[in-house]
Amino acid sequence: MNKIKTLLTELIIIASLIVAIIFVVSFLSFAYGTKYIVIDLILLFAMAGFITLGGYVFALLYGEKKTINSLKNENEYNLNRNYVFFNYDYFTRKITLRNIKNKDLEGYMIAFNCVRNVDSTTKAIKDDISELNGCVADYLLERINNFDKKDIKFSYFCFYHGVFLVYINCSPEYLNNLINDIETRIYDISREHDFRLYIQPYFGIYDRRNENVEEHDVIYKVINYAMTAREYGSQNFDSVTFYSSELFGSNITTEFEAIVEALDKKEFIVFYQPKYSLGKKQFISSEALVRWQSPKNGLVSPIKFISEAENGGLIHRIDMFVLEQVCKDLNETKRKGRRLLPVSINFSIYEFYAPDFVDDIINTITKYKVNPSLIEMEITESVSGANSFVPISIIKKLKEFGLRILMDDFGVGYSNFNNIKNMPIDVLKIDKSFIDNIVDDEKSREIVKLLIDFARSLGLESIAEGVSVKEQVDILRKYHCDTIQGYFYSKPISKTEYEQFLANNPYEKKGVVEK
Amino acid sequence: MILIVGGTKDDILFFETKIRNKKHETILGDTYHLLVGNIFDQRVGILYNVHSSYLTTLLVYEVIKKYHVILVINVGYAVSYLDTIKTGDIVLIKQTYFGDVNFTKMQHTLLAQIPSQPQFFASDGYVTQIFSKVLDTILKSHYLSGSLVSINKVPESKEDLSEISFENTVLGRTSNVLVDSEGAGCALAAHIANVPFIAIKVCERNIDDRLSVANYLKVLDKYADLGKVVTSLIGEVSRNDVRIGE
Repeated sequence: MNKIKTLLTELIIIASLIVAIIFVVSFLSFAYGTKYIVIDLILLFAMAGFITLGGYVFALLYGEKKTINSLKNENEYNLNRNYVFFNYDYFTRKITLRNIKNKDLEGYMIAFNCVRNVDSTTKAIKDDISELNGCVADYLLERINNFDKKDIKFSYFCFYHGVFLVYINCSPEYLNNLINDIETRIYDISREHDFRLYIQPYFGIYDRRNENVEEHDVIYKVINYAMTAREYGSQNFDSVTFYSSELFGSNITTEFEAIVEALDKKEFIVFYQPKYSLGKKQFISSEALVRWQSPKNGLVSPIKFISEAENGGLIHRIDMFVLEQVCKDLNETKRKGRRLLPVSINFSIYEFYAPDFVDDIINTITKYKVNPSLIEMEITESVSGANSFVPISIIKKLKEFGLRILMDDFGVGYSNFNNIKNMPIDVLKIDKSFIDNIVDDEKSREIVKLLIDFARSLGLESIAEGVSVKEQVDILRKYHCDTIQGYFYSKPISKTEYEQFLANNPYEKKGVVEK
Repeated sequence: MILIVGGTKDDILFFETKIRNKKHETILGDTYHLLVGNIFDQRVGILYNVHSSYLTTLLVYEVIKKYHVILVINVGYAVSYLDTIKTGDIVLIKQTYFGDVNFTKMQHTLLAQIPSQPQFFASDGYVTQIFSKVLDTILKSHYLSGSLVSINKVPESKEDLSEISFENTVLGRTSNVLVDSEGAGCALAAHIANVPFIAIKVCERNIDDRLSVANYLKVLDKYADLGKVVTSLIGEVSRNDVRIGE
């Protein structure tokens, strides 16, 4: 841009000189006759040429300014920075043009982010993230402007959807130092500004030496590889991950697409974990837990895919699948004449704001002709938070239909006792984290006793989750906990194993007759 | 600093690959080495080749005092005493005992208790909670909770714990007991220095069995999971994103 300005200035000076000369020659022609007219005409043509060139340069300058403004606007919006560096389009265009010009181009594509798992909508946090990313951009810009040409031939970067993309041609040693320096700088920035953010940078790197640079849109593939490696690293707590086709395969699909595919191919299955009543000395119900029978990864726990499903809007499909499967299983159990016990199902908080949630549940249960008293709904404490009017009204409607309502993971959230008082729930499930230490820690025992007494005072059943050893059972029995769920009795098992377990297990009194 | 202690080099190899800006430092007059670096902006020290609780107590205490340690994590392989733990199981340790201590002839002392010390060293409750949460997130399979007993030799048979065992109980424990040779030393040093301690181990074999190649490979695979769990815990401990009222 500066070069263009200088060029324009020089052109203006030259044009001014030419105008001055034309003036002098015209005066001479007028004064002394026509012999200077030829010179006059030549100078006029030259003048026209310069004006045309000047106009072209001006247009270029104006266009450049327009690009700069659009870049500025985007960077200002995302990063609170109003200086120029590339946006994503310009970044990819620049690299593609370089590809076309230099066929033997080599480089590393680096994708990295600064903050882990940010899903907060608080303005203060968003501002901090924006400022942090802005400071990182400052650092990258300074680094790129000051690189030594003997270390790196070229380097570009941009900021795209919360991730920095850096394309750089350098040695592996320089790359290693660069990543170390960027990571150190991110932590230093956070400390300097006292950002209250979950700082965990993850770097995904793709070495594009093996790519066919003439392939159309190769740059998008390269970026995708780097971002996939970054995503993989963030899930496996590897701060630096190199993309390799052995690790990732040639087909890159996001987890979201994998979940959709799994739903279509019916790869999800329902497991059951029995719940034991200490008073009745028998199993009285179970909890339905979804598992993903992935051909690639084996049996996958919901912790690994539920949040992705929630973010991608797939949770309703998964929840409804579980409900349908439970209804089918209950019908089959009834048809076989086996022991028919209620089943509790987890529903995501996102369901409570979906328009057809209640209708879908009622319609499904009605369709399979299941007695509603056999279906129990597990909700989390976060449902009882702000804006509880909607969840309360939904739960009331489902209770009228005949469902039992269980509050899951009780005690770990920001408990609002007033809301719980207003919630028409039937059961409190005490979270596993309280049960874990009751054998050795007196404080934990006191807290659990308090929660059980609290449930009883409200006329609610208490269920202790995550019970794994006999000593815990003994303590909970002493505190008059109603029901136990955990590995001590059984891990979550398939429907067939569950039926066999109910028919033959060492925990129930002899004489419980199977229907 | 968070201190990771492994009995052998194998126990800490995973962390050695994860640590950044690493430096080798020496303790106790250049004889023993400590690897220092960063994992997720948390300063981490890795101590290894500490054989026997005698040495571990001394070295861990020295490191705690010199480097301002905030948490001691003992990692590595151990052997199971009872059949409730299988090869490859990851076990989160709740209590740690000395397996070759018996001062019961002294007054007011329990079996395995060093006089003026507790009978067992409980893993820190808060750290245990974070570990449990991280284990649930990362592990595809279930993990176990159990007790760790340390003896000052390579465990070869149940006879090695004859002082503290009776039929199929060890110090009153009927299930999930692991045996190693350095955990209790870490726990004692941490207890004296008033620093939280926790141990997490992978079961390499049953105490009466010998380690086979097939089992070793299975255990190696699990050890990578354990490494990720500990790395993730370090990330959790380092985070500072808690805001009041938000």
